Amino acid sequence: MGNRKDIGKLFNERFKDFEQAPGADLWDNIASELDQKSDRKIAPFWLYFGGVLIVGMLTGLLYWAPWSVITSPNIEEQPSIVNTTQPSQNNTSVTSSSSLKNTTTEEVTNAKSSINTSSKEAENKNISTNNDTTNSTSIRNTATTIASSQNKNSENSQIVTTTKTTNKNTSNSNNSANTSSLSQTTSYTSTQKNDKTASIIEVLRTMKSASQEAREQKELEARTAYQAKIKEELATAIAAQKEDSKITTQKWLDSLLAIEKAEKIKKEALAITVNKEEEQPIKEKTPKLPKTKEEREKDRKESVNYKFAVSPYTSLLSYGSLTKGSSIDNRLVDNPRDAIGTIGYGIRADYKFSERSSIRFGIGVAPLQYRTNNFQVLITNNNVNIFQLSGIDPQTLGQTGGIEPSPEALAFFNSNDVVSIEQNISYVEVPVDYQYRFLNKRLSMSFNTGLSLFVLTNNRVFATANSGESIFIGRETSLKDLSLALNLGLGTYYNFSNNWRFDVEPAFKYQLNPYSDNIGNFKPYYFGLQFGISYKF
Amino acid sequence: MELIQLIEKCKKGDRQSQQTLYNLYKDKLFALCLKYCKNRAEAEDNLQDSFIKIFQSIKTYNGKGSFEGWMKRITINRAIDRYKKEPFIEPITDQHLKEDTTVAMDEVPINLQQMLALIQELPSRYRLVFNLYELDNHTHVEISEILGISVGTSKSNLHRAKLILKEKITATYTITQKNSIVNG
Repeated sequence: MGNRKDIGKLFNERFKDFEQAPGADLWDNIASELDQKSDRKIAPFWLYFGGVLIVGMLTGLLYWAPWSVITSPNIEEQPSIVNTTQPSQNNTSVTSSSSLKNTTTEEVTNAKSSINTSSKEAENKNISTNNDTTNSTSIRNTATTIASSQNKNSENSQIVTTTKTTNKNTSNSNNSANTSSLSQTTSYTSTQKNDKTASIIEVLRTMKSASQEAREQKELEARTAYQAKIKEELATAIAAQKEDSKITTQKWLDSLLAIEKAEKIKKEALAITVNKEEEQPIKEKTPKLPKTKEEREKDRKESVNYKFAVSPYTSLLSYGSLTKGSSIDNRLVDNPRDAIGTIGYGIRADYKFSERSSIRFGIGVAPLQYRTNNFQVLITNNNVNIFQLSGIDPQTLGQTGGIEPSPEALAFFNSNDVVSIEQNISYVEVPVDYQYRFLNKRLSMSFNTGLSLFVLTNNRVFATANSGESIFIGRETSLKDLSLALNLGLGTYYNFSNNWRFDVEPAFKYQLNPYSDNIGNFKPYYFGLQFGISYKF
Repeated sequence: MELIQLIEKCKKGDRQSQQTLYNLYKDKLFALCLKYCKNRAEAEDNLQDSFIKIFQSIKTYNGKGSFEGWMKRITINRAIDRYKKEPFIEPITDQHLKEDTTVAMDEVPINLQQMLALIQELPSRYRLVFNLYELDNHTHVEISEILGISVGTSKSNLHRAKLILKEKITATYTITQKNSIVNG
């Protein structure tokens, strides 16, 4: 029972590289299900298309079908509307258009039967009343026709009442002449009508008297007035009907628009639902399981993994000396001195050649300022002692040590007994550093060391009064145009993404050979606090 | 073909690439399913569901992090969804927490398939916790979030799972010993 192990660790070790093949047909199932899913994805399009088609068809159906039912009969059956309205004025029952149609059909049928009647009447014009037994059926039919015609045209009824007593055929002929339905009957009927008219006229002539003529005239006028009235009413009725049909049409259009609108809303709702359904799986797709330690470790490694990084930077610079000496004159060793903070800038690139090591190149500008305070100005015979300092070369001003300075300078020094001497030096710096990362995580730290080539670009010395007024007094004599510096730095980097990094680096740069002749044992360095953003790739 | 290209083609729905991807990862993911599911049939179902999910959501994979890890998470999620809502009664006492969960290595003559069977026989909750903690290196805090249980419950479930496994391993060892004695 010697070696014991935790169950968890035991299983972890055994299952570390565990793999097993699933059933051979599993891919087929997956592929077929994927096919189904992709089909389902198409479905909304077809659904949409089908929906549009159905809506279109429905719209067409609604637009055309009821339209024809409503409009066309109204136009075509205007006469029947007349017939419908007219009886109502005569206090008879309103007949529908279909019943009127039936009536018309019946009339035609009856007209046919009246042919038989009329043929017999042609033989004997006055026998129709007495011949009931022989042609009773056909006569009855004719009578029915007449009755219906009478119902339709009340104007005829009056004539009928006047002629009925003498000859039924007369009324028949009058009715035929004044009934539109009967005008559709055969030519035989019209011949019969002419005969009847002639007989009527003859009878009328015999019966006519002055009063009768007047009465007839009156009736004619009444009839004309009535016809005019009817026409007017007809026109009104038609207009009303047209208006009705317009309203109906508008209603239809409104209802169609409402249907279309409803369909559109439905369609949009459907589309939104479909979209939501499609989006739903996407939401579920987001893995909710947190990353494992290994994955987090992998992410971390990825964030610090790069080949090149380019970093623009800016730095706060402070110039100084490791020794107490002065670069201007060794007589100024005891004068208080301080550095004036300046701001440098540059860009650098590092190439990572191993997990922890990289080499860095760069180019930057380092403006430096150093101040020697409490310089006591002495003017003797217009010679200012500041120009006699061993480390300052005033030759560029056209002066030599001890030679009378310019009137401006003389005036400046006459008014300021104590001045500060400010050295303004600028270098273009080309550093080459080796970096070793001793902390290589999202927050990385590296030790950086290397050399910088300094190219002197500015070398000027000023005398500055307490008032802030300053005057150029020359250049440092022994500063070399090219020099080297030893770099030491502690890089701190925060890898906030795989491509971007924030850098902070305090750097110390000790100048190895800045002077050709180190007059005052001055060993300059500068300290810079560099800030930068690196792009890694 | 590189994995990135393969993923890109899968994003476009290329069936051939999907099959290649399936063939590349099916064994690893099926092993995962076998550990999380009750049996082989359910594991195959889970694998099928997982791959469909993977192909449907592959467009959301942005290339950051491990692709295999991403697929594993989907697969584990499917399994968790499958068993998470299974009714489970928590034991009342936690006295067993003091019990030892180690086994003597010479008492573990069982092979990998037998061990897999032991995991599959665990109650679903225990199986999920055991897998997440011991085999897939999740913390109890993470497990509590995933399964919607307390950290204490996660710890307790893990311990019980281990005790059950230990008991079964010991029983298997005893039976094996008896058989060997009987068979001479």
